[in-house]
Amino acid sequence: MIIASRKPFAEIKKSIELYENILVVGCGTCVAVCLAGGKKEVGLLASQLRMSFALDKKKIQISEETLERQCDHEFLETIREPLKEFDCLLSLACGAGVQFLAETYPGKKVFPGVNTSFIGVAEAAGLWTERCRACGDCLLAITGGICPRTLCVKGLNNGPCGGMIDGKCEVDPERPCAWVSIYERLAEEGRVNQIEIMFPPTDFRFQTKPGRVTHRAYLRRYNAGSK
Amino acid sequence: MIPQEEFRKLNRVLIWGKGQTAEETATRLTLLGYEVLKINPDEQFQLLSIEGFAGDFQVTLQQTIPSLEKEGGMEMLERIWTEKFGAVVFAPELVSEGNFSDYQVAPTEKIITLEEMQKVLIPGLDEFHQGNHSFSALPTPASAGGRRIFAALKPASYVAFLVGLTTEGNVLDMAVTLSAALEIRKRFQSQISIFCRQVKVAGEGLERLYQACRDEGVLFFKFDQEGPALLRRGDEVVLQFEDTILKRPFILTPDLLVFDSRHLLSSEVRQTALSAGIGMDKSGFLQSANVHFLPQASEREGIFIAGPGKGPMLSQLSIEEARATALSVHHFFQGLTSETMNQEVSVDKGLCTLCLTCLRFCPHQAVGFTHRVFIHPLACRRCGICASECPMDAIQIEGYSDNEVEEKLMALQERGDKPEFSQPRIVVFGCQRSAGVAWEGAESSKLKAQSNLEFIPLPCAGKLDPDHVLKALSVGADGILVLACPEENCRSVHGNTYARERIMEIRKYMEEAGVNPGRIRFEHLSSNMEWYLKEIIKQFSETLEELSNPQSAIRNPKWKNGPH
Ligand code: SF4
Ligand code: SF4
Ligand code: SF4
Ligand code: SF4
Repeated sequence: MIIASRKPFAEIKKSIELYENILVVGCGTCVAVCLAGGKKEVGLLASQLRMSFALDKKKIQISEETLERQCDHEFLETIREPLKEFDCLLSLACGAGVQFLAETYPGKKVFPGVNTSFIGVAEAAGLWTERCRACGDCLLAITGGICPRTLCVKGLNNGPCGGMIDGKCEVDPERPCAWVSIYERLAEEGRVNQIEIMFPPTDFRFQTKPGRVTHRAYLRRYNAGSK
Repeated sequence: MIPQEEFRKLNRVLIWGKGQTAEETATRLTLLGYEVLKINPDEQFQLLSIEGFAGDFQVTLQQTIPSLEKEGGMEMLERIWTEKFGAVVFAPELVSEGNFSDYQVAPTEKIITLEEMQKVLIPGLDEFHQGNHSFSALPTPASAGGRRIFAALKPASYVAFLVGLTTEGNVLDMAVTLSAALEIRKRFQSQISIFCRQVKVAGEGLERLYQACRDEGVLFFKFDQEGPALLRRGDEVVLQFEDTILKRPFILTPDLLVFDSRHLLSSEVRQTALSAGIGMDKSGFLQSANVHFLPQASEREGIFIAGPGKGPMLSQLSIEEARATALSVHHFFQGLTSETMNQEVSVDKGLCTLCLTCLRFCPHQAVGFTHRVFIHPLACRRCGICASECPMDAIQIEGYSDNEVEEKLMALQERGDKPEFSQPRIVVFGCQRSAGVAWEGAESSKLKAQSNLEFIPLPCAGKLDPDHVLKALSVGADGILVLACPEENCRSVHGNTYARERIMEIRKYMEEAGVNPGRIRFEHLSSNMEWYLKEIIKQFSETLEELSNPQSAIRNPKWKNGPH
């Protein structure tokens, strides 16, 4: 899932203070789950902004809305009509959501309320950690289900490097070396010989920006990729 | 809310324990018509987890049995299975171990534990537990240890008992000590001293036993915080102390020193309690130190705790516990009807995004999920902790819903626009059980009439929602007062601490927005503290008047929701 965290309040406030009619738009999926941009966060931010602007004696109207997802047209469309009265949209979705909102409503000033951090997992209540860099060429099959491109600080395709000390990473002695974890996991599973497979340098053609995925079946059936 | 037909109420009870309490509870429940399974928590049986909800628990058990003899030891056969029960009773016994490390001595010929002494003196422990506190010593003890002890008890020997030096003494150890002392005194004419902080005699027959000891010439010494020092001098054990009453130093060299053992929950029981979400108190016994759980309830509906697992107790009491527990279980089953089911907490399936925050924070393990989240109406205690954590405001509690709170805030805002409004406006969020009662009390009747105060009841302080606090401030409240039950006294375990922690968070939000964080105040309050409530409000009003920040600027009557 996409993990994000709220931007500093001062930064948010500064970005929107020129406008008069502001809609804070939350996203009810990833950012809600990581407690950064769901309905509750929208309410908190809106109240903070109301108070802050009122204390500045500014007449700025702040309203609240939370969509199911901001990365789907259909959900974004549901606010087309009411959106007319707002001149500024403050989106608490991830970067993708913010952009799709902006794209859907040209002419509206759209601002992000969160910093999109990474693709990760909920390790515990309130703790999220990164697992995947979306490299487009997944090598987990060989590395025992542990991603060195993400978990190794240097993103080494072959490791460990010479800096590994007692199974820990030289950059942060608190952290296990990703390649040691890979080794241990493979050994446990009786396929330690896989550690000898040398990976060529990461092929960055798989990561050409912007990424684009077309579902084959849909391309055929609905001509999905043609747009 | 799960539809009613999904509830099951299984007439089966698991009793996880052994000894008197477990047996008596089992007997009583069987007589009441329940199907009872009693399992001893020991090396052979482990309770791995209790999933599900009151009336319909899935309990996973593990049995390990040594089977075939194999080279290098026994082969262990392992069986893990899951059974369904309507209720679970934890009724374990304690294990006792020598306190040598606490007393910083090594066991020697002359130092033994109360347990050892008891084993030698009482062949029929059960009889002792039945309330017959007289010993029937074996003429010649069979064990080597027993013979050693008897050897030390030659006529006119000196025996000292040390009870409750490192732990809070308990009535069970005291009963054994008194009985043993009396017996030894009578049989061997030994000289006997008992050292303790307090003679605990709160049990049937104990006062009499204590008196009998005194009549027979057993000496009692009360020690202070420090307690006597234990030294070794060659073969001898030396007890050095100052008597707190005589104010005189003593040095004694007993022929036999007997001290109490440490009573603990076995590691199996601890492990089970942890995995089942059942708390322990500061001394490491079962049941969290929470008056709301007394006598036999736990964090989870349908899981009961009975007997010595809660701390050493005399047998009479553990039998009483068993009877009371059987009745509690029975009442619990009788109470499981569609009328009593909690229909007041609901999850809006459309809003819920299955983040599982509610499941992670519910102190009563009342939240479950399939392809959606549901709150089990029998397990839920309506604290509202889930509702204030939910990032989608998907959980609403009847009487405390977002709409109801917001209506009250709007009402305050409207009143606030009247010119005669001069005193600081305070919104009081308070736990219904404590602050709510204090607020309704006669003492506070004047407070209730004050139009600058708005009391918003919470089902538990854990329902305090940062969003509501900020909304209250943004419609022009000058101050927010949050009232929670006293520490360690929250019916929902963490509600009051969650509230306090949320306030730290809210203060940050306030600071960011330029509002003085001094405008929010947190207090613990119990229901009989009306006078204190009045006092806090008075003080807080003064504080608010002094705050320079012109909160009144916030009084922005145009607060509206989004387009939807
Ligand atoms: S807009 Fe971003 S945060 Fe929202 S659902 Fe889509 S990917 Fe997740
Ligand atoms: S290799 Fe690592 S970064 Fe690349 S797709 Fe797989 S998990 Fe993600
Ligand atoms: S109201 Fe309390 S007990 Fe009920 S589900 Fe929510 S957190 Fe659990
Ligand atoms: S906290 Fe709210 S959104 Fe998350 S799972 Fe529970 S009800 Fe759903």
